[in-house]
Amino acid sequence: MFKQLLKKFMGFGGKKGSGQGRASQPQEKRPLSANIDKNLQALRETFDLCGDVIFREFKLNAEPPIRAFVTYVGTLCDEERAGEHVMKALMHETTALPANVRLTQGSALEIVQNRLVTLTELNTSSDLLEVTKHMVNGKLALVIDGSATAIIAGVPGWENRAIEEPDSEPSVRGPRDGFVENLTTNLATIRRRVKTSRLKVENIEVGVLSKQTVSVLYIKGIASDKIVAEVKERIKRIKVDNIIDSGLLQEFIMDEEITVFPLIQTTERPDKTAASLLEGRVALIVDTTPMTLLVPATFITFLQAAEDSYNEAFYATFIRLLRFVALNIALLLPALYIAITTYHQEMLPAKLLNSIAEARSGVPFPAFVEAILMELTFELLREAGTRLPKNVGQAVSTVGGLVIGQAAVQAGVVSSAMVVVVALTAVASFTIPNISASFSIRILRFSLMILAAIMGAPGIMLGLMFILFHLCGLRSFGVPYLSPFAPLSPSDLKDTFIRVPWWAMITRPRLFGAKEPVRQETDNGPVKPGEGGGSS
Amino acid sequence: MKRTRRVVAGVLIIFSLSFLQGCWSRKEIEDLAVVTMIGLDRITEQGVDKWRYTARIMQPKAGQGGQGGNQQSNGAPQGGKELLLTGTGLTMQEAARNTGLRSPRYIFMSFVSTIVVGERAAREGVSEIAEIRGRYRDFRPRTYIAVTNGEAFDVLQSCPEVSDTLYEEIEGLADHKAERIGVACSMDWNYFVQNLLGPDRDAVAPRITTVQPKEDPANGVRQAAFLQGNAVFRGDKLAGWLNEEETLGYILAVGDLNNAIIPITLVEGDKRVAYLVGRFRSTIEPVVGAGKVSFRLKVKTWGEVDETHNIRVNDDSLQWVEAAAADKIRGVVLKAIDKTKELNADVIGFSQELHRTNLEAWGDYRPAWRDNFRKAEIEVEVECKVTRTGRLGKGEAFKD
Repeated sequence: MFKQLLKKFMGFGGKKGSGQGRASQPQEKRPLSANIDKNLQALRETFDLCGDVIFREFKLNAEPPIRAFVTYVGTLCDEERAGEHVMKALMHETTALPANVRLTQGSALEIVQNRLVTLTELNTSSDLLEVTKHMVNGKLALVIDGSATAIIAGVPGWENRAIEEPDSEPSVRGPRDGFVENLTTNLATIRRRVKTSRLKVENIEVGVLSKQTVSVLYIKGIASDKIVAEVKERIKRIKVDNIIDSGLLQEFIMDEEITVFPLIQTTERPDKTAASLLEGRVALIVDTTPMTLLVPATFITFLQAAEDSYNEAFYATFIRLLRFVALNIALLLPALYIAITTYHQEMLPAKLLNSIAEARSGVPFPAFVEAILMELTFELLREAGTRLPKNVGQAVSTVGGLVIGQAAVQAGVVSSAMVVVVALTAVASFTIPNISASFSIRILRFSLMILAAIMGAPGIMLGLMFILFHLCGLRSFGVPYLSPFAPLSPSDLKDTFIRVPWWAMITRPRLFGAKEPVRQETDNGPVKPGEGGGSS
Repeated sequence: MKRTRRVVAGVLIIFSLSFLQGCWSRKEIEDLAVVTMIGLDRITEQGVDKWRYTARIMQPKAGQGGQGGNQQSNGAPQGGKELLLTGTGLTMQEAARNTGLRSPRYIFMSFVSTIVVGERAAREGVSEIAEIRGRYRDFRPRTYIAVTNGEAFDVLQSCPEVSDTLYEEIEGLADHKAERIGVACSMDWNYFVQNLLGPDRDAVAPRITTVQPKEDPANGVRQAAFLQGNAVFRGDKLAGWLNEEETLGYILAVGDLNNAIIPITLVEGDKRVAYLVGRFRSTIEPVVGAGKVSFRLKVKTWGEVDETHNIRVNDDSLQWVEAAAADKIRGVVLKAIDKTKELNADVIGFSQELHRTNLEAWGDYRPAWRDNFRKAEIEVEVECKVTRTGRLGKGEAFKD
C-alpha cells in the first residue's frame, strides 16, 4: 500500500534494485590526449565557472623545455604541500637529476613519478572523467605535454573540526573522543583501538552525481561473512544522487520499509564502534558524517551505553535495570495515567485518588486532552531547545518548561498531577542512550495514550501486543531484532539487562559473532595471591 | 503488501471504534462521588418500614490545582472534608437512588472501607445487605463490616478525631488495632458472608459505637466512633452482643495473633500485675464419644510481665503469674463460650472444626447442629508462658 502511495506521489517507478531509476546516468570514458593544449582545454571546459579550481602552467627544466600544468581545487588542497612537493620538485630538482637520466617528453612521466614528486599518495589516470573525480576529492592533477596520462597526487588540506567529546553520547567514564566529519580521522580513531590487520576497511563509493565514500569496517574472521556480504550488496544497490549523511544511507539499507524502530544503530563514539566490531558487527562510516552506523542492531543495543562496559559490573547492571524501568515509564506513564484516572480509579490508593481529584477539580479538560496538551507542549519545548543555538536552547527549554508548567497549573489548564507525569516521562526518556530509540518511544507513547483514552488498560495491553508482534517480526540484516530474548540464547543474556564482569564475558553474541565464538580464556577471573593462578 | 493492508485496516477499525457512542465507560476522576462508608438502617417513617441508606462521600477540596489565587502555599493536599448523604426508600435500591438525588456525580463504590449496619437492620436480617457485592460491580469484598447498637446514620455522623476522615479512622481500627488490643474482632465482608453461607458456623461482626469525647472540648469533635465488643449473628439475624470481657474471650478462643497487646490483670491480695499477652494460638479438638460430641479448646499464650513496683519477678512469682494468667484467661474464654451458647450461635467455630476433621460424626451432628453445640461439653485448657520479664533492666528502688 505504501509502495503504491510512493509510486503515485513521488513518481517512484521501476522495481527495487533493478537500477532503472532516473538517478543513474550513463558515463562514457573520455581518454586524455597526448596534446597538452587539448587536455587543458577539456579540463577548463569541465571546470567552467568553478572559481575554486586553479590551473597553473609551467615548463619543465629540460632541453627542450617540456610544457606541463597542474590543476586542483584550491579549497581542498594544501597549497603549501603542493608547492613544496610538486611545484618545487618539478622546477628546481630537475637540475639535480643524475647525468645518465635525461628528461625528455617521452620519459618525463616516469621520471616525475619516480624521482621528482616526493609524495606517498601518487596515482596515474588516463581518463578525463577520472581525473575530474580525483580533483573534486581533493587531489592534484599534473599533466605533462606529450603524455596521455595524468599524475594524480594527494595533497589534502581542507579544514576539519577537531575531535571533541560526542554531544549525543556523553560519558563520565571512558574515552572522550568522538567522530568528526573526516573519514580518515574517524578511521584512525578506530584503528588505534583495534590494532590488527584483521580489521578490514572496504571503501564503496555511493552516489551518482557526487561520489561519497562509505567505509565498511569489520574484523575478518569474527564478523559473519554473510552479514558483511549482505551489507556490501545493499550499499552497492543504492543508486542515488548523493549521500549527504549516514542517515540517508541508513534508510536505504534498512531491512524493513516502514517501522518506527531503528534497525540500524548509530553512534558518535569510536570506542563503541570498536567494541561492536569486536563483537562481530559491521560498522559503516560515511565520509563527512560523524555518525557511524552499526549493523546488525538488536533492540537491547539501544539500551546499552558505552559507559556500561567501563563501570563496575554491579553498578552497570543496576543502571541497565534502571534504564529499563525508565523505558517503561517513558513509554507507558502518560497512558497509564489516562487509563487509571478515567477507567480504573479503583487501582489508586484512596488518598491519591483524593489528591488527584483535588488537583483536577479546576481543570476544564478530560484527562486525555490534558495529557496530550502537556505532552505536546513538552515536545514543542524539546524541539525548540534542539533548534535554537546551544546556549539559548538550554535556557529556553528549562525556563520554558518551568514557566509553562507552573503557569498552566496556576491558570487551571492542566493539573499539577499531570505536570508530574509529564516531567517524569521526560526525565525517563532522557535516560535512553540512543536518540533514535527515544524517538520511537516518543511516537509510540502518543499512540498508547490514544489507545488508553479509548479503551483503558486493555487498550494499552492491545497496543503493547501490537508493538511486541511488530518487534518479533523485525530483523536487522537477518538477525532477529529481539534477540537474544526471542529467539532466546541464554548465554547472550550476560550483556543485556545485566552486565556480568568482563572476565565472565567468555563468548561473543551468538547471532553475529559465531565465527569465532570464544572471546577470551575461561580462567581469566581475578585470583587472590597464593591461590592457584600462574602455573595452572 | 497484503500484510500492510491488513494492518492498516486493523488500525482503522480500532480507531473508528472510538467514534462509537454510548459504550464508553470512561469517567473522569473528578466526576466520581467516591463513597467511603455506607450505613444501612431499617426505620419506620409515617408507619411504613423503610430502608435508610447513608453514604459518606469523599469531597475533594476544589482549587488545589487550578485558580492560582487560592493555591495553598505549602502545596500539600489538605485532605478534603467528607460529605454525608442519606436517602430512604421501600427497597434498598430505592434508598440508594434517593441518596444520590442531590449529587450529580457517579456513585463510586470501590473505596467503601466499612459498611455499618444498624441494630434494627441487623436484627431483621442481613442477607439483603450481604448481596451488596452483586449490586455494585466496583464493590470490594475486603470491605469491613461493623454493626452498631443504634442507628448507622448516627455512627456516620461522627467526626474523625485522629485522621482526616472518618473512614481512615474506622479502617485503621478494623485493620489491626481493635483485634490486637482485644476489644473487637476484625471482619471483612468476604469472611462475614462466608460465615453466613457456611452450614457450620455463625457470623460475628465488630460492634461500632459512638462516644462524646470529653478530653479536648476545644477540637470541636462532638461525637467519635470506635469499635468495641462483638455482634453475634444466628443465621442472618443479630442474636445479641458480646460484652468487653466476652469479646476478649472470643478473640483468644478463635485467635491466632502474633502482635497482640492484651493486658490481663492478675490480682492477689493487694498485688496487681499485668500479664501482657503478645502472641496466642488456639486449637479446637472435637472429641467424638459414644453418640456424644464434646470439644477441647486449647489456648496457648506467650506474654510478658512488665516490672511493677509491687512485684519483683522471680522464679516463684513467675510460676504464680503463669498459673494465675491461665486461670484468668480460662475464665474469660468460658464466659464467651457460655454467652454464645446462651445466644445459640456457634461463632467460635466448634461445629466447623468437627465438620472439617470428622465428616462421619458431622453427619449425625448436622441436623440440629446449634442444639448439639449448646449441649456439647467444652473443656478449656489454657497454657500461659512468660517469655520475658519487663523492659526495665532493674526495678527502681522506691522507698516504702
